[in-house]
Amino acid sequence: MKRTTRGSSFIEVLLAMTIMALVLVGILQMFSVSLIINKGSAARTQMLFKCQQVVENVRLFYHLTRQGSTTPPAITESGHVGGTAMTIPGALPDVLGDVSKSFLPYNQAESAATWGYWGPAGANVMEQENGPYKISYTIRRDGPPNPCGPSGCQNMWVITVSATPTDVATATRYFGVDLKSGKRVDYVAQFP
Amino acid sequence: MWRSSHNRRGFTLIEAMVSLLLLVIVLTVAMTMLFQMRAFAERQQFFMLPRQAARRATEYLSYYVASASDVNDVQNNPNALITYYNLNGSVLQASYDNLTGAEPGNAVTTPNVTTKFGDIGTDVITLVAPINPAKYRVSAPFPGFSAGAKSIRVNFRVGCGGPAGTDDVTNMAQFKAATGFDGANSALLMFEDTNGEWSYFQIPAAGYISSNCADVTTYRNILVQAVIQSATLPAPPNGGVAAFSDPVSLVTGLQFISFRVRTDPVDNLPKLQQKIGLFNPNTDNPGVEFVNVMENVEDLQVAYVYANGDIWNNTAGQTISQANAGARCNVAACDNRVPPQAGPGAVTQEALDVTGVIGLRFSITARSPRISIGARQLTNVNVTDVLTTTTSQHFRPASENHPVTMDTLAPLRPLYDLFDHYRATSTMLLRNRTLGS
Repeated sequence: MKRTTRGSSFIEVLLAMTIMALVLVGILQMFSVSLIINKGSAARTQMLFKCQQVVENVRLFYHLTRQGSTTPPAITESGHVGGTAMTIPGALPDVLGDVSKSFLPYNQAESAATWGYWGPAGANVMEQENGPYKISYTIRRDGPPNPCGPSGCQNMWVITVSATPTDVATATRYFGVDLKSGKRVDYVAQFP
Repeated sequence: MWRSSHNRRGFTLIEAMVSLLLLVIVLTVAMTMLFQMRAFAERQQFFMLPRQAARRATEYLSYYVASASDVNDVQNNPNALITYYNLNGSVLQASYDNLTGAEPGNAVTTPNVTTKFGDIGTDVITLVAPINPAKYRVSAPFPGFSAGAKSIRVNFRVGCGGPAGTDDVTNMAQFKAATGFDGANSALLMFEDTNGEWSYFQIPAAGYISSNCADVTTYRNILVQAVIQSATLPAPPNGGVAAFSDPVSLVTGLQFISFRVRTDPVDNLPKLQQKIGLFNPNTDNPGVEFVNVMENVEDLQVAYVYANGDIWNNTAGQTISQANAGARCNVAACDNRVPPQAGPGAVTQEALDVTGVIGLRFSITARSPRISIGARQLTNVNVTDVLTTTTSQHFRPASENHPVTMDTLAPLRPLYDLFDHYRATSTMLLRNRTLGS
């Protein structure tokens, strides 16, 4: 039998190293992808926690309103851009199916009054000015078709809080997570 | 066998050097990326740990705060939050704001770090959470609060209905279970009368006298004997009312629980600690009854939300004191920086009495383990920025009325360290104080 015992040629070695480099790059890319996924999960966890806190605060306003008490002064300001202005808590939608939308302030300049409540010196829902997320919420009047019975009217409001990564280029941003990444978080709760 | 001898030459020196050079370049790039990824991952871990710890602790406390109740719907759960109580004729404080070590019974144990009660600058809170609540009617007339053991008969028939002669044994066993008997004493219980006046109560082992399932007319099924007003039992902060109005109920299934943050001397880690029972400044210094719940929790801050929308203890100027509150809190207890608790009965209550609190806004600050050398390269641990401009998170942030600790050598700088810090805040209505609204 005739066998060739010569070693690899230079070209073969180069080719082998190129393949190895490509494989290594592929493997290492998996690390960076997993890091980005990890960051995305962390971002969504944080935004979900913030949404929960918004609900708890609105529950507080709701209770204060029903007691006839004054709410924290910063809260009575109307909502911001992008929806029907809503005074919290005075204007819970009172028609079935009505929806009100409010935005939490993104920085002090946007609303110094509400920033004092929602910002780090207050409820700490917005941890910093121009931070990595924006939060808005809608409150929808809901209920059965014939809500009033012997025990009174069964009013019910459904609040949906949405947090999205910021779209402001100069803001502090989540690593690898932006508005286009689809990392939006919605949190739904109900008022009696 | 014939073997070819041609084409057996190796690489030339140039070829070998080029090959090795390329290999080194490829490996250098790969290793650099690998080590960077490892450092990023490690950095991410240090970044996430305080966030997870803070959120976890917040969730843990939320359960107790949201459900706080002494099951006294007549007076809107007046003892759900406890700031004061009475023991052996002395009024004791059960909740604190920004511990300094100067509180009665307290002292600094590690300068700038911790006191006997808890870490410097942190709060202590005591509240009541119903874990398996039930009310049992006490047979009238209620014996009153004079000294000595009293006989108290309770309508309790959970264990009745079995074979005659054994159901009394079963019933007493059920009653002991319902009152949280641990072999020496019952859990801390409460009496509440028809007007919502209340007192504490506890049954010693010898006080479980008998069961009488046969009584189906007056339902005096359980007989216990215990002192109602004892030197060793807690009492309402004002000593309680002179007498109860029948009918009176025995309330069981309440969990009195206290929370604090204290650096564990064993491993030098700050921890959220809890005690099943009222905070006792005479014994919880630091005592043995607090157990660790979570580590790397370095601050607990509580702001009190009142029914008129006011929030107290959220800033220095809004911290409860006679000077800050004026007519709203005008007794000496206000200067202890927590809401006063006048107690049951027709007593004068300050506007900031703890019974007026309808929510708590509490903040937990947690920290990472000490950042490793590899991860430090990715975070600016050597920052020298002043507090007003810094973006670093390597110092404990301000929280409610607990300011940032400043560097004594550079007074405009926060006291930087080698940890990541994170503060989570939760605003919780005391659900059981909002009933009917």
